[in-house]
Amino acid sequence: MSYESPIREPLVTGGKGYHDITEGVLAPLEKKPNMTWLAAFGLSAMVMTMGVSLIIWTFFEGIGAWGLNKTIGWAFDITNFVFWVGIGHAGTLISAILLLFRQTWRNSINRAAEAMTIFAVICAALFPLIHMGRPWVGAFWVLPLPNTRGSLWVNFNSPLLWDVFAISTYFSVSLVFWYLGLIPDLASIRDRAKNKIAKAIYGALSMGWNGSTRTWHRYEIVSLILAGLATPLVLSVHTIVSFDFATSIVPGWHTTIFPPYFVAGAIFSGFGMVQTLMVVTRKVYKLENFITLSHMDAMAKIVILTGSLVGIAYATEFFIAWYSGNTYEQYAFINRMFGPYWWSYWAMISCNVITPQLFWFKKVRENMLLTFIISIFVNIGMWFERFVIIATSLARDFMPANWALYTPTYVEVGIFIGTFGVFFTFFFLFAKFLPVVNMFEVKTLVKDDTVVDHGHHDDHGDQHSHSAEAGVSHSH
Amino acid sequence: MSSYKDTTKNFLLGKFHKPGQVINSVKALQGEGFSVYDVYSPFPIHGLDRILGIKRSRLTIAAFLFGMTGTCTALSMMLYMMYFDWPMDIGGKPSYLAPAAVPVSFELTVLFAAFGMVFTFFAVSKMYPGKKPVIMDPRVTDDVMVLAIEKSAIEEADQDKIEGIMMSHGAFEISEKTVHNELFEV
Amino acid sequence: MKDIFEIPDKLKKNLFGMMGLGVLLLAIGLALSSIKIGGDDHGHEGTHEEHTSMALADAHGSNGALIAQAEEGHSHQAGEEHAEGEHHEEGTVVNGETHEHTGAAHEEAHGEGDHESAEHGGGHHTAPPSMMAKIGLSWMVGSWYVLLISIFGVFFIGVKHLANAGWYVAIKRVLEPFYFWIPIGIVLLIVGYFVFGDQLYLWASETPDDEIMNGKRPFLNPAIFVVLLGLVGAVYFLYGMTIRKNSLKEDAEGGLSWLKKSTVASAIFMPFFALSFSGISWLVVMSIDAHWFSTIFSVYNFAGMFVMGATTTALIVVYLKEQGYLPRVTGEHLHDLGKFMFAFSIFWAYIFISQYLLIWYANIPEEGVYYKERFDNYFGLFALNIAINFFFPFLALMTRNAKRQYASLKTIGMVILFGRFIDIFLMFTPGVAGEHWNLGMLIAAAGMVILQLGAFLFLYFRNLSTAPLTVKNHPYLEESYHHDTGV
Repeated sequence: MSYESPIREPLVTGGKGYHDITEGVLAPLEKKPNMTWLAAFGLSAMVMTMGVSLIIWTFFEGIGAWGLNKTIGWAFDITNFVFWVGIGHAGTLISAILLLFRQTWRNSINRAAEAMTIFAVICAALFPLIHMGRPWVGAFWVLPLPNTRGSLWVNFNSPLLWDVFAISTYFSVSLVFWYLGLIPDLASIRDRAKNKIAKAIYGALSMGWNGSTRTWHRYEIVSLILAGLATPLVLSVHTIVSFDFATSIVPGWHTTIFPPYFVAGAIFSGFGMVQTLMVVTRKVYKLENFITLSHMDAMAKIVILTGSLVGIAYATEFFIAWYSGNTYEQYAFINRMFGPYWWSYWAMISCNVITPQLFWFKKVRENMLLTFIISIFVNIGMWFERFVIIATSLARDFMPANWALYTPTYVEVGIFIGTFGVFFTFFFLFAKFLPVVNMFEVKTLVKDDTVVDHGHHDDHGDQHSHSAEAGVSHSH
Repeated sequence: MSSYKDTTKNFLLGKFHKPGQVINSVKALQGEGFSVYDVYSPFPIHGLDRILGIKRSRLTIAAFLFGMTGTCTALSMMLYMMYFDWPMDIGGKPSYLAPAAVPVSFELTVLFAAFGMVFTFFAVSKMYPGKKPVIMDPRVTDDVMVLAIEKSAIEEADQDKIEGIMMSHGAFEISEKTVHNELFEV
Repeated sequence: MKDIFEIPDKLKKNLFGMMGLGVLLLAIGLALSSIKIGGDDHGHEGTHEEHTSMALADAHGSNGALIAQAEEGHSHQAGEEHAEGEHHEEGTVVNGETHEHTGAAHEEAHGEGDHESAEHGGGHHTAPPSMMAKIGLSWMVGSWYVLLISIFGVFFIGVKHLANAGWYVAIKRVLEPFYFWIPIGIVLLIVGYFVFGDQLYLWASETPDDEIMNGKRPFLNPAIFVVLLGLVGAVYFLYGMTIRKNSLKEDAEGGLSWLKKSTVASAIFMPFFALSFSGISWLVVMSIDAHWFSTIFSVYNFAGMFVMGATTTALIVVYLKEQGYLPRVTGEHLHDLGKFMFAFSIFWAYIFISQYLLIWYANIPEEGVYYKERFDNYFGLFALNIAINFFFPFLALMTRNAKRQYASLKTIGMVILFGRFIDIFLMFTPGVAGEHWNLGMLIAAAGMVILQLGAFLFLYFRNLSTAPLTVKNHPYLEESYHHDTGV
């Protein structure tokens, strides 16, 4: 049995036991949907429909329906793509990296965060698909499929193709990770279900799970290795997204710190979104005893950490631009601050670097309204960060004669808003039909006061590590 | 060992509310020389796998091998497409294996390792969508831990003693169950 | 069970032996490096494969300043390069066009640095480095190496405090004395700069015609060097001392207040660390290649620092366990240290490939020159660096046993520490010695690392013996004793 210091704040409060956890988490699932849920779901579905209609309009009209021009051939769509991919990073971070670091507070938020990851990646993947103009033939442009032109294969030297591999791997591995985590909880629903259809569906999905220790043993190993695989994977995804820019020679894009800087930014934005969703979910679903203030506190700390890392990356870029002595590079950064898009730069700085610093105060970290507001700022700031990087660098390229500005059309704005509809439609469905908190992992956090006899422990321990454990006494 | 011929098994079940009680029971039973068939629990009980003497799974090795398969697939695919079949000169980059091959190789390594391992896990645990579960007690996925002892492995006369040991360590209920299932796995 | 470490005579002897070996290697290396072996001493690394990957095809016309400098370069080399190029059909990057340019680009790469500085010993040389430059090179490599290890001690404790971690408490005392070396390492770097600076750093001398160099002078100057390094030395040391003091007070008095104080100190220290560590890695290391720049450079140093620090810690823990100390530190703790060695070796590789791939892909001469130099004259070491710092730990530390058994940890740890040396040597040397480096310089630098490491360990163990090896009264101590890495 693991031991926990008595000074640690409990992660399950209110004296909840195992059964209370099952009841508390599954209550919203087993009830009929209420009006609030229906209204929220209906609204997001409407927004999604609007987005989808504008996407269809874009296919019909062509990319000309967007505000792109000869100088700025990449703007709103790629900004939104990076924005959504970034949000998609927190889920895997919480489920993988925090698992490796044994941060047990992740147990009650990982499920929702992983779901959020999957939905965010879906939203992200929409943008490159739309930007292809004719996605139905796009398979030949992005996948190494044999074709009648040679075969003329895809270009494996292109960062955009790496993106295809990265995003699709990330999506599918996250989905598997999420589903694997769901299996024991699906079995819980199955065993409680009164409704025949529900029993059949959840039963089929839970794959005959019966809670055997042998299965748990393998299950834990698989989860740990998946976490070990997902950790470099999550780093690689935003790294490769950053390569889309950094492999070029565009000033402001080509800088070697981009990979870790994008990853830090992605985690930052992802945690911002997790905070936004969790503040609401714990309130609406009455999960305050499972997603406690300690959880919100820990997330706020991660937001300061990553926000500060992003701030340091801004400073580093800025400093090295000067240090390099490269006039183009220097101009790119001056232009960001004082050029035509100065407002987006300062929006980025104030939302990403300045406001999160409020989380240094415990009072702010434990105030849900302020947390919610700051998390919204983080979301906004991270959108602007991508816009700043993309639009300002393109708007002032090497040839002043080509300088131009970019304004999005209503179609682009509508599609972007529409992706929020997609995201929330999926999220509301998830919140209705699947447990938003990982029940079995939260159950491991309930304190068990049984005195465990450690007498036999070493006999069953790892044979190979006996030398290392010599002299260890477990009695207490 | 797996036994697929005998599709009926009789179990003596001790039911508990706390993981510590199960661990103590298992240890006490093992100390008396009784073998425990399995423990069913709503969440993984830390350290119980070692106490039950479950050998460390070799899924890690499977993951490594699948990962290597992924790397080789990626490298040979790119080598074939970009070098042998249709060399492309785009932006002056070499068309053969260069630093540019790293991202795709990495992604396919992870993809193969993750999927290979998860499907191996499903296979060795005999899990598949729609499988009919062997449920010792429906509360096992809620708040009850079930300690199962196969009746064929114990003497009839010892049953009372076993029940006594389980009760003394906090079992709140003792029952028996007969399971018909050809997919029983040990 | 004894809890106060007593330095065994054997250890003392070994550490003095280590320092002696360091001096010996330094002397042998310097002597070797001065012996000319068959004319051109960079021949053994070969200049064949190098042209394959770093095709600086577009060198012309991309940067006025560079071109101007290049023209001042050495025309005799251009011919040489072309001659070389002609018998490497295989090595041609993409097509004949690129091929033809390679020589010129390479020549520019050299021209860039050495137009001015041959006599100063900075930048990319054509003249072989002087004896002073060689000593200075070993001095800086050794000092930076050991300083990074000692910085790890304070950084790691800081992170663990902020993360509220419990598992490491059983080995906290092992980490605490690391801070002791920081001011010494900083002083060694500052002394090194004033004694050898003009032989190592282009910016330590006047460069009237070098516009790019002069543009950087507001940052690259002796005053900033002394002030920033001094500040880093002082703050890191004070932080380490605070942690140590609080920890001892906690032993004596108990209570939660000392942990809280240390956590607050860590929260103040960490932002400073993040900013200052970048600063010193730019000043001390990146400015060796004075024209070159890379924003990820400090992260690269950070990754290496973490690997070598975790490795050193693991080796010390293993040593103490073998001596019969730390009875309640188990394979679980070593497993976690081993995981850090493993994970940060991968992280290092990630940062390495991020920097390398981006520079390779963009193919901008002012950046590419860094790798061009390493490919042309250091290819063997360059390849060894990746093999030993990534592939080796990745494969060797993958299994659970490798992270838990003393013998494997010791072997792997030693190899990793050697690999870290290669990496740091490769960060310093090409900017100083260019194509004129030789094995002697490698041996001399290794000697300096061993010498300083011996001194570091001697002070470390002396400091370690001043307090019990396990903390008392730490609220997470019991957690650490029960630490279990799980499946």
